[in-house]
Amino acid sequence: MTRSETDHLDEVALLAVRDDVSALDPSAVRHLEACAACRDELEGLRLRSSLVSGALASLDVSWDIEAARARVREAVSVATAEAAGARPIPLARRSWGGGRRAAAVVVLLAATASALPGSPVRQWLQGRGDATSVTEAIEAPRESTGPSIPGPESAVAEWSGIRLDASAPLRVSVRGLRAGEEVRVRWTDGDEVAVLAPAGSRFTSADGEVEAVVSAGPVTVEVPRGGARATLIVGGTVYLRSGPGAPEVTGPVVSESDAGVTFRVR
Amino acid sequence: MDFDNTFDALYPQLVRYCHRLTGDRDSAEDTAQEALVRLYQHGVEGPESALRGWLFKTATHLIRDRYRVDENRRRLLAANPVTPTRPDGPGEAFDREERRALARKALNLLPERDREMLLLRYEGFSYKEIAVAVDVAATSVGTLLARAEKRFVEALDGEELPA
Ligand SMILES: [Zn+2]
Repeated sequence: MTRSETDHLDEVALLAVRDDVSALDPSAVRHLEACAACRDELEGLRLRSSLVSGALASLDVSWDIEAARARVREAVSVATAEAAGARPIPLARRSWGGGRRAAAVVVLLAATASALPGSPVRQWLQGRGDATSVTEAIEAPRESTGPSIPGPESAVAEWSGIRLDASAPLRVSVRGLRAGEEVRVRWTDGDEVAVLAPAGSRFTSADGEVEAVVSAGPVTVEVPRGGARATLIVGGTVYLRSGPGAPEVTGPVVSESDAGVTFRVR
Repeated sequence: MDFDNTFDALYPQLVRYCHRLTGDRDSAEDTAQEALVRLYQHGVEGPESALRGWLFKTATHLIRDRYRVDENRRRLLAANPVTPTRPDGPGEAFDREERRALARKALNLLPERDREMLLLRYEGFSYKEIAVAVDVAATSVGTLLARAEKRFVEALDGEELPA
């Protein structure tokens, strides 16, 4: 018997009573019934609980749950398909489990070069095309790639990309990269954000958001210099935020220059 | 395990917790998503309470790993300044912003584990579940929580925190 019925209850014991997490021993119960000081103390802790609840609730924001549902569903299906060694079903053909949700997601990887007039890849790369997205055989970036897409003599590989207007804040999320692979952010003089990745990568876009689920690295992200508000998230980690001021770089940088920033995924 | 049921039951609370913990919208959404992806990747099954415990523990650890580095944390805070907006709108809006800023500041002053435990408790986690989620002995949860809550309220009041 360590407790006398005349001992006041300490804060830990009173919190356990307040939060209904454990039963008091009988002597403590009798003490609480008899002791006005401890009951006052308990009442104070209840008020404190309301204060804490209110303060924490003040931090809360509203969420677009349906947009999140679509994103999470896609991420889960990609991850579980990869785990099973299966090739994920192309996004454009995926059933989203209801037209209501499907409407929230615009699949942009629909146009192919052959379906578009002229040389859409070239237009896209030069920022003159009106296609929002293309998939086409273009030249692979050299390992020592600079800010621009490499010239025509390089080895040909399958690449795909997406380009979006950057006048509104944009969130670019890149998934599927493995440790050691690179993400290259290049500052451009245009007014669009572009994401380029090896073929097999898939891009989705909803309001203010682009998600690239890539088949491999490297990934090149073009961001206008002139204060475009863009957040780059790689594998769930914020790598970079650009805006009116200096860009905020929080990812694993391997090199940085006036032309851009290169990250290596950890 | 039906995706929609699991998502509806657990995601809204999970993303709220992550947001309270990091103070950053993008980090919260990414962490909540990553935790759910891992749930499916690992084939975790069980009653809802077990899934919830697993998800919150996973999210807590993801946030520790990704955002604990002081430099990153400072940047996150810089990106989400706690300064109240100017009181040029309705008084009520100002009060709300001011209260939000105070709460954020007070929470950020807590040691990492205190912050996690306090938030988990106010998400309705039992002492035992908290112990599992933050890797402390179940017997010390009561004492640690009492300290965390006290420190938080003191910080809200603008008092000096003990070193
Ligand atoms: Zn007493």
